[in-house]
Amino acid sequence: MIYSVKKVQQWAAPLVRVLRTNRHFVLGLIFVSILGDIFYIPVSSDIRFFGFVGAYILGARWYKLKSSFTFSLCLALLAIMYVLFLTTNTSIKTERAAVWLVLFWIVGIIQQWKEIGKRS
Amino acid sequence: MKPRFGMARNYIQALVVVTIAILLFFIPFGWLKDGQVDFGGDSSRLYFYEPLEYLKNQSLYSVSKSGLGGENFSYYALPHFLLVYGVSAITQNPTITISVFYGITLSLAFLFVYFTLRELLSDMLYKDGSISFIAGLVSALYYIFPPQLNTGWRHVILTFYQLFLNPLMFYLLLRFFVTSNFRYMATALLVTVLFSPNFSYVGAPPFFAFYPMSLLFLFLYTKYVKKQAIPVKGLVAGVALFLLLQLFHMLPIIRGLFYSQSANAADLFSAQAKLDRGLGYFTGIAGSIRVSLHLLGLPQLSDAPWYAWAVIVYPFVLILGGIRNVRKTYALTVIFFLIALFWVSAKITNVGFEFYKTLFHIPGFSMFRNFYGQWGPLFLFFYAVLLGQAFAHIMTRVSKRVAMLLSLVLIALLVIPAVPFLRGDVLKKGYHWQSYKVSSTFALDPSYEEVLTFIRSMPNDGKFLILPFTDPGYQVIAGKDGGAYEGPSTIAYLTDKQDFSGYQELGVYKDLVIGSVRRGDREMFQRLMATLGVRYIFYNSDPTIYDLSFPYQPYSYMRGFFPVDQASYKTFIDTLGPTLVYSKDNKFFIYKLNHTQYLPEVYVADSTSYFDKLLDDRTTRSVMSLITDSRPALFEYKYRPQITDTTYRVAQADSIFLRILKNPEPPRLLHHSFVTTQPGSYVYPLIMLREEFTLMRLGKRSKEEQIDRRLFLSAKRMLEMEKWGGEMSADLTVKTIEDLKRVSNTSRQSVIYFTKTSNWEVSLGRYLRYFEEVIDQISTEDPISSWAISQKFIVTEYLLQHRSRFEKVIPYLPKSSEEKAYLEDVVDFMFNYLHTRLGYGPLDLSHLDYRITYEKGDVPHGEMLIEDRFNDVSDVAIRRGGAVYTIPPGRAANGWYNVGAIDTSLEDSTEVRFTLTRGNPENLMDSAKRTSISNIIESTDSATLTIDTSLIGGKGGLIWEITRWEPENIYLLSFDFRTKNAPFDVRLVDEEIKSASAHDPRVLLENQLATKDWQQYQAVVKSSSYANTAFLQFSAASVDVPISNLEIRNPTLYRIPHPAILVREKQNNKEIQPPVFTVEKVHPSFYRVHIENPDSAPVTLVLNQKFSGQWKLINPDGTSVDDAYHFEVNKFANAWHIDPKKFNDANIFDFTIETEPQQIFYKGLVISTVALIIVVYLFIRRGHT
Repeated sequence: MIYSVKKVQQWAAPLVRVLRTNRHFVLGLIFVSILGDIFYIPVSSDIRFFGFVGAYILGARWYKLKSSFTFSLCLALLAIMYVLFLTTNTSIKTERAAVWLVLFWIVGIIQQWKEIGKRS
Repeated sequence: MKPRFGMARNYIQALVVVTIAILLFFIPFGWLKDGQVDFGGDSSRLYFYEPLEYLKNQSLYSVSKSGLGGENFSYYALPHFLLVYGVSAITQNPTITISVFYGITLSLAFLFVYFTLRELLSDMLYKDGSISFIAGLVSALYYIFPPQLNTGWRHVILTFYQLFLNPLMFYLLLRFFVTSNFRYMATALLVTVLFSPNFSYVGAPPFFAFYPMSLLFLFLYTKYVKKQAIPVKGLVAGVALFLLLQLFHMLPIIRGLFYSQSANAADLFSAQAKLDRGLGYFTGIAGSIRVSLHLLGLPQLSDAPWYAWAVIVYPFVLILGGIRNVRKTYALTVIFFLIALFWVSAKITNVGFEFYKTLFHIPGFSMFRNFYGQWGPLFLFFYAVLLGQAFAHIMTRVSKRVAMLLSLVLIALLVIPAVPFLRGDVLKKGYHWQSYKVSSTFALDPSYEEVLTFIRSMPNDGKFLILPFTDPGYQVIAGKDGGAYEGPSTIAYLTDKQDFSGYQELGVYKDLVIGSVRRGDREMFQRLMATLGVRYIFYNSDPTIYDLSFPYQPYSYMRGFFPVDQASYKTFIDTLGPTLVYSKDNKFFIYKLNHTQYLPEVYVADSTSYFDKLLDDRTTRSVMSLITDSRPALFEYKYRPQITDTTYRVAQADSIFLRILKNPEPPRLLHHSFVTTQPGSYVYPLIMLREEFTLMRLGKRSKEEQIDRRLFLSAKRMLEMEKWGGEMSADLTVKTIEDLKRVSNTSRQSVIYFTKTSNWEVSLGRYLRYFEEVIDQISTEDPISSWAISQKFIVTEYLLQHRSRFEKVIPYLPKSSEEKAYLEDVVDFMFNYLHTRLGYGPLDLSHLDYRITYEKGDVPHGEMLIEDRFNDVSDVAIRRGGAVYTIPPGRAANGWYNVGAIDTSLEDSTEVRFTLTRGNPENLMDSAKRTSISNIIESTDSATLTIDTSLIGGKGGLIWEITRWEPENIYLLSFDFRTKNAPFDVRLVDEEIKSASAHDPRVLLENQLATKDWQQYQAVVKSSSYANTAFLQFSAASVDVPISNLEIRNPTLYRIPHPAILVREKQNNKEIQPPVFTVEKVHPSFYRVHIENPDSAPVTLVLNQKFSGQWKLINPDGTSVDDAYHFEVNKFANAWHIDPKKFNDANIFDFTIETEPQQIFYKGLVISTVALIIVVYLFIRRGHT
């Protein structure tokens, strides 16, 4: 079992290396995927919600992202939600953007709490 | 110099805050003109008018003054009503009293949100406190002028004070946690007493929504932000004192949970409350609630306000305030804000929503069914507090000038949209819902005040009926200069009289009462009023409270039963023949009903009857005519006393007609199947395999389930052929039913081998197999049993419905004419075969089976009574074994025929069966008037009609007007039919014709039929409650089908009377001297009763209040009479069966009738008063814990 885990780690190491060195690509991909979910997918899915949030959390650890970055992402999502609200009222897209905003807000505040803990 | 300057700045800031608070206090004084009030709504707010009267009549006793009575645990409001009384004693004016409370709410809400924010920002190292001052203002202004509008200020309920109580209590507890000074806790405790409704059972939703979350916040804040110790001792003492302070209203409720028929227990624990009213309501509205609107702070379920575009600034500030913010308080507040957002919106991810739904299984959680309303105040509070903190952080990151500019923008954004609210538009422009612009603010009519005074002076010897009658138990009274009161009855709330003001208050009698009015049965109406103890009618003849001003609410449903305008109301009252007792301004009238059988509040029954089954409304009506004693006590079903004067055994009709009724609820709905996988797709064989597996697993289930599943699958096959028939192949190999049966027999294998899945023959074969198996199941039972007949009826219904759909779809398939003709032939012989195999013949009308069930040894004996439901009784008889009992000639007495004593003796049995036989009923179609649109009937012979059904809709096509139609009866409709090439519609509609223009039609049956060979159609329907005529209509199925010919023969319509049958056993024929009886009503929860019973016969003492275990009959020694002698009588009232043998053969009794919660309340009140004294003492003397 240990052998196989090691094997997987060895196999995945180059991929992880690539992902770790391409921060903008990875984060951009996550953000574009979220935009795709908001604008093009009519049915909401928890797998997408938690999948992308999980990926972002992983990315945040790898790239040592601060809570400020996550809050900036929240501001972007808020702007999207606001534009959608003005143009489509409380449509499915607006609601989806709102849920994404809440999820990233939760991530941001957890990051912030940890940062405050480290600081103190 | 610097400190002095800072001190001056602090004074200025304090001055600004106090000035705003004072301004806010006085703003509501401009909302109502002098003399105006805003009473009404569910809480009535009449306590602002006469607080002490309201307190006495609504809050002091455990018995409801409305309707039938029942539990009323409103003790919680006592301290608050005393506070209102205190204020009104000073103001001497309800308008000012109302304004004072509005002012307090607005002002204190502002102040304590401000104080809370200043406290939470106290850890910031600001140079001069200006930032926390501005942030506090923004936060407090957002709280009192939120963008989601200030709803809830009209017809406010008692718990509305949470608007200021939440920040007030939060601040006091925050200070207590931070300083450990018990004075803060004591102050909070005193507040809970003054505003006790917010800390009571009715205040449970706002209480549990706010306080647990707030305490958790304070706990975490103290422990992890302030890093201080939690003042545990003070907290425990505070909680204990809180419970003791609220004990006076909590104890009776806790005890009440254990009473039989407790409404509170049902609210908490019943599945209906948890799932139907709780989860059902929640899922119903959850779809309309939007997370985005909550984030923006906008109102739900209403149009966005004009400033909606600007509100983005608030969530923007909330998030921006988090960037590079190192304050734990902010992070903690965000966490609580997000939790509150989850509670208030419920729809954050599917997992979150499913989790929310599971919470409704917790007893009591259904109080959050209106979740966005109940959690709204918590969300608003944390939104405001977070906004202030975030704004404070932003201000620290920008220049002073920018900070000032931002502050002004934010404050302007909050205050400008609030201008209409500050003007009082919420009250001034508030109209009663569904009224014709009738304002909800008004000045009290002095004439009506005199009426109330007169009613108070009347003897308390009977209940009131309030007319015009409403749906929810409301009363409408016009104001002096426009506007009106619309709310709970002022007579019940402000006088000592009990009343019925609406349908909902009539309890089990509600449909009987309104039915008697609609039928014009004045005698029954009087009788019902007498039973309910109604002696007076209060009638408000003002046209502005009924006719055009209030066309719907609160009269929507009742207008269909009671007179539709005030002129007709006057006539209605006159026909009751009452005596006018009082009138005022020719507008308000009080009448006394002159019925002789009026039942007083407490009486000794002069006759007792027991019915061994629950009586439905129709039978109850007949029974009320049968029992003519002036003070009866009717026991039903499980409430059986040891001895009654008369016992009635209720025979149950074991009627096939009742099993196959098409309305109001058919025995089994035709399955509305759905199909998503097309035959021929790769997964279709897997679906077939699954279905076959399901059928195999059903092997040991009931026959009904097996039949039902096969009918369901047949509907799926039919739908597939309907939907994808054009793409399915047809082999043209099936020429006879035998060929189809062969395919049918191999249909299972065809699934296994994955062959020919998209094929008409295979699908029809499968379809045939399902029905063959259904018929096999039915054939295992006796073919003349009512079960077999009813199952055959259901299957026939399926076959007729499906056949018509096949007939409709096949001609339009994209196939060759040869293929279509072939498919039509196959479908024809398949259905003919199934109909023949099923063997469903005409129903037998000549007899109805009845049975009386009883416990072993309790054999019924006595005379049989048959309800008068026949036009002619000469050929009606009861048959039992070889004996025949005929109905004696002459008219029925009180609506019942007495057949005389019948032999019901049977050994070792628990059931008596007998049959009601009758001669040939009259075919009502013979006397029906046939009408049609011209040139559509072509008579071919005397028995058959050939009809062109091209005309549809309304009263088009062919119509039979049935004039001899009776309400609440069972009818059998039957005819043979044949169509040429298209389906047709048959419709039976009955209607109540009130006048030439007022019809009330109800569709009893509507079917689409088609068959090329003669087929019999039968349907059993129940006529509507008030219908007096009906029509049968044949017309084309739709405008799309071509003109077709329909042939009909042997149309028949029979009325099948189902009379109630009773066996009456008189058990006590001895003439006894009636007991001498006196009663003294001390207050609504306490009566003194003295009975002198010279014959020492059992006595039934009746209390004409809604049955509840809370009522106790108390012996002179203080012990209560065993609950085994406490029964429900007359469907709602309390009764005690007093057998002198159980009382040492005494013939003089002195009892008191009391409610147990009232006694508990007195004890609780003493404890709460002591606790209050302790809290006041601690407030004065105690500093730190």
